[in-house]
Amino acid sequence: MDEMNDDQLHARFSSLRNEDTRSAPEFRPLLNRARSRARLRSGGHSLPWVAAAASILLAALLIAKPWHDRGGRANARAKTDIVAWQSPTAGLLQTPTQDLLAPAPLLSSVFDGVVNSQLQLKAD
Amino acid sequence: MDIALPALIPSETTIQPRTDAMEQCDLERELERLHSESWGWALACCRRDSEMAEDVLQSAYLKVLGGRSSFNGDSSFKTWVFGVIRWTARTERRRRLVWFRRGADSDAVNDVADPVRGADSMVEESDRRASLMKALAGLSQRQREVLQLVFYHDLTIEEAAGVRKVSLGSARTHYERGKKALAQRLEIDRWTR
Repeated sequence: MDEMNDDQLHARFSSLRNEDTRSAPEFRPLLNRARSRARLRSGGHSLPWVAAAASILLAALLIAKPWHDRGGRANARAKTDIVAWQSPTAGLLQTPTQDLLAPAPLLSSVFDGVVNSQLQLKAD
Repeated sequence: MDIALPALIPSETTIQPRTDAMEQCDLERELERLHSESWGWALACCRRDSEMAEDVLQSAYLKVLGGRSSFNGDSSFKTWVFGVIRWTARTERRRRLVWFRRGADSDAVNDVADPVRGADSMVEESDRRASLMKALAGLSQRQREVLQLVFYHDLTIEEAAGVRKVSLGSARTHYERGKKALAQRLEIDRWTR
């Protein structure tokens, strides 16, 4: 059985190469596909990060909102409390004769006097 | 991932000293010139799986054009690109092995035979190619790659050693043993038909 020589092997490989050349994908479309795939991959890599950041932000907002609401309600209650506050000894100032001791309304007394004296003068 | 290939053996087809000195269009032009050869080498590195070979070639071209693999000018552009393709194919094979665990080597070889050409000579030619691929598939990867580089791509054994990053002596051993084994397998195949 004779072994094949180099020329015969070359011929075999040459035939294979010719067939491969015929079936080879075109260079430009292949390169374009490679570039678009790379762009997709780079976009695909950033998408999970963006989604994760958005999720964290949303979670932070959801957690912070009830605290914010609770704080606002507490502030409003504090303001009401301040307005309605009375000193513990305020009740001591409330006496039955307080109205008698109160000075007479200034306006009415002044006008009353003026009106009365004028009327008196006219009558005289 | 950065791939820094070692200096390879110079050849007469060295074109430019450095990749960064070359314009993008020059690189593309050179890749286009080598495209059919690169395709054949990618097929060989991917055990004739054309789908995988296309993926590998796309990734290898992006590495070359994107500067992720740097050409140091000590080798020919062809051997450097072949090194990048081989490296990329190896990475892809490992990745697929991990994820898919598929071994479609023998199926790929049988699928390549194309007897639908009509003429007898075409069928005979197709049979010869199929028997060559079958015989190559029976060799070790090292022997197969060295023979492919020498007989298919017309590289010298020194250049093949550069692409495979092995010593000249080792490449020569793979070449001699591989050639003998291949010739025997082809003869056996011829006599058993």
